[in-house]
Parts: sequence; structure tokens; C-alpha cells
Amino acid sequence: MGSKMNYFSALYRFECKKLLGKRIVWISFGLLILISIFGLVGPLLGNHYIDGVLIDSNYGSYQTDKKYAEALNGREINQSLLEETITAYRKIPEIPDKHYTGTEEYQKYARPYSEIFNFIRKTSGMQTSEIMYSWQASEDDLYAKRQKYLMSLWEDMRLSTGEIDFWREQESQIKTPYVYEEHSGYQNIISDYQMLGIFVLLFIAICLSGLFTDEHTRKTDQIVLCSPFGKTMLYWAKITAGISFAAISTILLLAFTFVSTICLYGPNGFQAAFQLLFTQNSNPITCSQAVLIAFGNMIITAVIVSIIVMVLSEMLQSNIAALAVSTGFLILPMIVQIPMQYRVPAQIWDWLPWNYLSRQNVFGQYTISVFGHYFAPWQAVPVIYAASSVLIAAIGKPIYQRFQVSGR
Amino acid sequence: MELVIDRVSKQYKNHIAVDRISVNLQKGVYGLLGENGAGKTTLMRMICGILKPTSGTITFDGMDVSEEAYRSILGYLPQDFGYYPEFTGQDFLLYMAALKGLTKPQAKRKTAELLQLVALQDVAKKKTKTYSGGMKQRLGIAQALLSQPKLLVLDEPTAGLDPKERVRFRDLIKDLGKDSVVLLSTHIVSDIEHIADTVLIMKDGQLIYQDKWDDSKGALEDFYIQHIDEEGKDGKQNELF
Repeated sequence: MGSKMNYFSALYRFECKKLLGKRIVWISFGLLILISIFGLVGPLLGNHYIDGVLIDSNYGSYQTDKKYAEALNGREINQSLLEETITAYRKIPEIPDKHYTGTEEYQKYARPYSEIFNFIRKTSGMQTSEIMYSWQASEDDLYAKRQKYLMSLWEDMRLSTGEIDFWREQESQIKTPYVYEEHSGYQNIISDYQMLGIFVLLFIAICLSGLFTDEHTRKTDQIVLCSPFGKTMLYWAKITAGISFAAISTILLLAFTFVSTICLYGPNGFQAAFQLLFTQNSNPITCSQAVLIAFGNMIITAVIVSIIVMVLSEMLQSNIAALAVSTGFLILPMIVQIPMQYRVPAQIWDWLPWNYLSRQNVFGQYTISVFGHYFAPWQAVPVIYAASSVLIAAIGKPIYQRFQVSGR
Repeated sequence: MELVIDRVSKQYKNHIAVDRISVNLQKGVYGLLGENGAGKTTLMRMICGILKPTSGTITFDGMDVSEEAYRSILGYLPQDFGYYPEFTGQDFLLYMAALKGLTKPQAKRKTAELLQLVALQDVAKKKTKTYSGGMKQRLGIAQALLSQPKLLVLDEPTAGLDPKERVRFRDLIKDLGKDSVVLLSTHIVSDIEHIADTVLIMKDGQLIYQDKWDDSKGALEDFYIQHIDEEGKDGKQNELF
């Protein structure tokens, strides 16, 4: 057994070497890093205009907002803070055809509270003007509006009574009123999460679609398949190399994204409630926990997609075909949406690896019930993906082993 | 030590590539001759277990071609195959050694030995993408010999080699035939004439000739051409055996 492991690790190392020897891998990874940098720096480039008038550079504007937000750090979003916010916003005069943020009053009185104002808007679902001019600041009303919105969302999603009870129980663990913390770093990571996920999966499809098919196009399959370990051990060595490549490259990219985001936007918000950046969400977690969960889910998704791509390429006997199918899967969710009222197909669709990587799905409200226990997507999907990965890899093995060298 | 090929056929949709071949091969060098499309490569692929026969069985000392044990006594040099451009010659042999189940020390020792044997020791650490056709062919021969195979299948082993190398490899193959079953196919009749103990001739998927060959029988090339032509005229299997 020990010696078999030695052969396996030797083959694994060689498969990794083959993979890392490809120029396309390094070019694609470089592009991935560039995209990550662009996603990070992009919003800070250029200038900030209101009604065609230059106010500040985007970076300057961000710095100002960040400074105001930091001044609110540690404050509860309670009656007192809500009243301060509304009082400040009520000072903004109603000027037709002019955006309120362009007024001197906004800049002087309201802007320091813009984070709280935005929180009210997203949490209550009210229009900006309604909050500014007619809403009576009320902590109870704000949190009640949020609960009402959640209830209506759960009904629209056709959640079962058990699921609703589960989310209610999760809600009860969220401490209200929320304590505000500046969290622009975590906000950026979660905002760019979906885009990052799409590019990671595309990168994996580009790099791994040739891991098996290259043996056929190079005609090395003839000497490989007639070797003692060429049919079974090599298959698993290739699969393991592909999986570890997908996992490690995703971890590296996420580590790069995390470190560079924190360097640029600051580390604030570590303990902030996740509801500060995703208000209509019932997961009782902090922003830092959310980022960790999102990253973990991306890594396991990268693993299952890597296996699908490898098996698909062997099945189709073409890396181009496997790449085309994978790209198609990535594009399809942008075109096709399954309405929430079709509960089961909508849930399956949302949880497919190519669709899954968005904050709405990872932290979504669909659950799975096992013996009366309910599991949120970020808890259930990794387990489903792990089991499916083993199954798909097992399905791919006979396809690889039965390959016949003929017609050359 | 015996390779038993029993009524082996390979049929594609409307074409029979190999037609009910039965032959037993013992220790020695067997030269397989035949025109393009005669079924030589198809037969060799089936012997190597990378192409499944439509019917018939192939065993070596009782081991079926589909078994891992069978593959461990096999060395195969295909007619045309590629290399991993990102590997050096040494990497390639170490990789093949791992696939063939050689331990790490064995692999290192055997790789160094074979690189010396095929005169690639000076370019062992250069990437295979920089190798010439002849160098690649020598590397291919080296990988086939890695596990000291009892059954060695060589499809056009001397193709791409210069005359001096060809002579050297002919002698090497002859030596290997003393302890192994060596089956080699080539278009170069003189190669077979010099090294094969037994000549096999294939035509249209059938084995039309199988016999020991020695110089007293005259020139193999003349015999081969005459035989192929006769078969073409008769359109039926030769009754020499």
C-alpha cells in the first residue's frame, strides 16, 4: 500500500508538472489577477460628478465617505441614530431637477449619515424621497419593515413552514439594533464575488479541459494506456492534480483579492453584522464570517467544476468542446432565470455550480431538510458538491479506461 | 514464455482490419511485414491492450491482455506518438518508469542506463521539444525498454534513425530477443532480414506467411514482393502454413 502511494504521488507530481508547464495556464492566471485588481481599483478611478458638475475624484469621494462612516463606528442603529440621520436629511431642500446629493446641505449635514440612510433605504424598501420627507424615524418600524419584507420574500419563494420557522430561528440570533461598523473592504469583496466566481470557473475550464485530451491529441495515450498504472492510478492522479490545481489557484486568487482589498479599503467591519451589507439576509453571521463562507464555497465549487470539465473533456474527446460547453453553462444563467414560484426547478437551477457563486445563492433562503434539520445553502451545497464530485469522478473512470486507440 | 494470439479479429463498420489471426510466439525476434493498411499496427495495438479485439483472445503465459500483470511485462514503441514538450528527456523516462511501476531508485538507475544506451545522456536535461526526430525515436525506444519487458512490441522502431544508429539498434533488438518475445514491424525489409528469427507477413488483415528465416532462402525482399504479388493474384490465403 505504501509503495502504491509512492507511485501515485510520483504520477501526481508529473501531472502537476505537465499542467504548470502550459503557457496558457500562466497567461490565464495573470489575466485573472488583472481582473481582480481592476475590480478592486476600478471604482476608485475617475471622477465623481453630480448633475454634470465635478464634485471630487472617485478616490477623494470614497475617502470622505469612509471618514464619515468611521465616525459612526460602534454606534447602534437605534432610535437616536435614526433620528439624527432623518433630521440631517430633512435639512436638504427640495430642488426640482437637481439631485439631492448635489446640494450644499447634503454635503454639510446629511453626508456624514449617508451610510445609515442607505441602510434604512435597503432595509425598509422605501423610496429615498419617502424616507427623507415623510418617514417618522422609528427603530421599531424599521426592523418591523424588514421582518415584513422577509416574510413576503419567503412566501414568494414558496418556502415551507419548516423552512420559515428555521429562518425565524436564525433571525432571532441576530442581535438588534445592529451595531454600525465601517465595512467597505468586506463590501467590495462580496460585491465582486460573483464576477470573480465566473472568471475562476472560466479559468478552470481553460486550464483543465486539456488534462486528459492532450494525451489523445499528442498520441501519448498509446504508451500510457499500455502501462501497468496507466489505466487506473493515472486516472486518479490526473483527477487529483486537476482538483488540487483548481483548489490552490482559487485559494491563491482569493488570498490575493482579500489581502489587496483589505490593504486598499481597510480592515474595518470584521465583527460587523452581515446584515449591514446584505440587509435582507437572515444568516446570523458577521461580515468576516460571510467572506470566509463565500470563499470556502467558491473553493468547493471550483473543485466540482474541475472534475466536471475533466470528465466532460474525456467524454467528448475534445478540450474545445468541453470548454465550449463550460462557457455555455456560464453564460446560460445570464439569459435564463427560473421564477421563484417554481420552487424545485428554481432551487436546482440556483444551486448548479455555474449559477451558484453569487451572494444571493450562497446566502440564499432555499434550504435542504435532513431528518427535520434545515441547512442553509452554504452548509448544504458544499456537502452535495463533495458527494457529486466523487460520483462524477467515478463515472469518468470507465470512460477513460475504455478508450480505444484506433483510426490514426 | 509464450504469447498466444487466438483467432483475433478486429472489425470496423464495413472493414475487417484483422481477420482471425492465430499465432503463438515464443522467445525470439519476430519480424512483421505487410503493406500499408495490412493490419500490422491494429494487431500490435490489440497485443498491447489499447485496442479491444472484436473477437479472439490474447494471453501471455496465461495472463489476459486486459490485466495489469500483462501490462507490467510489456514494452511498446508505437509507430507515431508525441511527447510532453514541457518534460526533459529524463523527466519523460522517470514519468514512464512511474507508470510502469519501477521504484524510485530503480527508475533513476534505469533512466540513466537507458539514456546512455540511446546516446541521449548529454541532452537528458533538455526539453523534448528541442529534440530532433531521431532523438525522439531513441527516447521512445528507451521508454519501451524501461521495465525490462518480456514482451516487446516495436512498430517501425528504426524509422527516423540514421544508418549508424539503425545498425546499433538492430543489434540491440537482436540481443533483446534472447530473453524476450520481440515483435517488430517495419517497411525496411533488410532490418528484418538481419535480426528476425521468424518472419510474419500480413495482407488484408490476414497472416499469410509465418516461418523461420535464414539466408539460405535468398533475399527476403524478393521473397516478400513475390509473395505479396502472388497473394494479390490468388486473392486467397497462402497455403504455406
